[in-house]
Amino acid sequence: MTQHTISFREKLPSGCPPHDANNPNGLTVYRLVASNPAKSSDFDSHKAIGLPFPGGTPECQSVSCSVFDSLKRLDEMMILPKPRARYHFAVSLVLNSKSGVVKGGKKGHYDWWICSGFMPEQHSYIVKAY
Amino acid sequence: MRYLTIKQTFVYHDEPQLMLGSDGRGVSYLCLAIPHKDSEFAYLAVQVSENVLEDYLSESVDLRYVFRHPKKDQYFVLYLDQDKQGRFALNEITDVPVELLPESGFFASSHTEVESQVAKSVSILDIGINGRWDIQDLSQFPNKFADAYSFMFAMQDNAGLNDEILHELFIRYPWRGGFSSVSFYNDLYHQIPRPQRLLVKEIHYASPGAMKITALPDLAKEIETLVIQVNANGIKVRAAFKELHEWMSEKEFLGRTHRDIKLDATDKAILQKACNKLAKELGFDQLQRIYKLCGKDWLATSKILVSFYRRVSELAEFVDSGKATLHTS
Repeated sequence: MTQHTISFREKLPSGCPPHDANNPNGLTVYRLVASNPAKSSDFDSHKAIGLPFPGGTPECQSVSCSVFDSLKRLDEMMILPKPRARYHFAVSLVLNSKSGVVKGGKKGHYDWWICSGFMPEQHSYIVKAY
Repeated sequence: MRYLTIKQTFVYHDEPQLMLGSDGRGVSYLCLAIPHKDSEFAYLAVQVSENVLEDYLSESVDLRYVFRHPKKDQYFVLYLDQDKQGRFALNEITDVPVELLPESGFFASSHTEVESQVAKSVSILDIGINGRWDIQDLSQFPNKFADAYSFMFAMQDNAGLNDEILHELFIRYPWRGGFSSVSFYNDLYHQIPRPQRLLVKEIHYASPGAMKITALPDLAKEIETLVIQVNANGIKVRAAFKELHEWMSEKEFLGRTHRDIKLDATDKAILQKACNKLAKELGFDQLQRIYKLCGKDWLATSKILVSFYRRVSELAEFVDSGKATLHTS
């Protein structure tokens, strides 16, 4: 179980990140972004964009940033209409303890809660244009 | 107006991308996040029957197929920020631009939130390929294997299949020729729950090459055992088959349906004895189950046993000739 004493880029609800979120320890991840080069706003959570989040998804997940462990997973996401309309590039970056904490889902998907002070756009590089 | 309740999220990427819901009548819907000029929370929803949902979850079809063939050709839009006590209004729409549909190639194995329905009980059957296979071999071997697998699945008492449905299937066909057997085995195969059906995982054609197929290990092992028995006990098995087949031929039972033939006590005794002999030489111990599913009709039992023997012997021929090997892992 991980004790989260670090501060995060976004205001998180109580009990968030969950106890089973962990230090990424050099995990290489991939994320879909709209701009080239990636901007800070490309890593905003759904909630940070200012959109109210409807029921059905845990609030903690709604303040995370989705990343995947392979480019292939991003290719799969781009088959879906909304990501296809919204994103144009894939970036890669390596996450460590200064980046924040992650919780692995299934099929290579991670929820990432970003540390305050960490600027993901400065650690990302474009690996694919769609 | 219909209302939908969200049951689970299948794909999450910054927000739910694909969700499963149901309406007040329990009808299932797949809901896909779409770009929308007026809303960040718009979802395209289609009704899905249990069969289509099963096809999708078992990766027989992709997501695009589901959305291109919605039940009743109806499309709906719902807005996830407009809920009424956890329910969302389904607004029917008639025009669905192609950019709102998923492209080809998104299968359930790409879900981020829920495991696709791959049965944990199946294992990989390695079928070794050797020598020269022509295109007919490549269709015949898997077909015969699927037939034998379907039949052995139905032979299980605890398979979860409905015996009344199986009984209706065992007596449905006239068994006057090849069409009955093709239809019978196809119907049997479709009784098997999707996760336990044969799934091709890999084909590598070379000499030697291999096919890897998911199958229930017990059934694959039983088929392998029958194949070994046919090859090891070939003379006795063929003699038992010939005895049964020739007797039915002489009596002109082969070209007529069991419903048209009134067996007398002697006929029944001869068929029972011949069936027992063939089953014994084949190493097949489920004869009584066939007899039961055939409504205690020895002629129907005989014809079905013969058809099963033919399939096992064709598989055995592949193994005996060195073109195939069966190995359950």
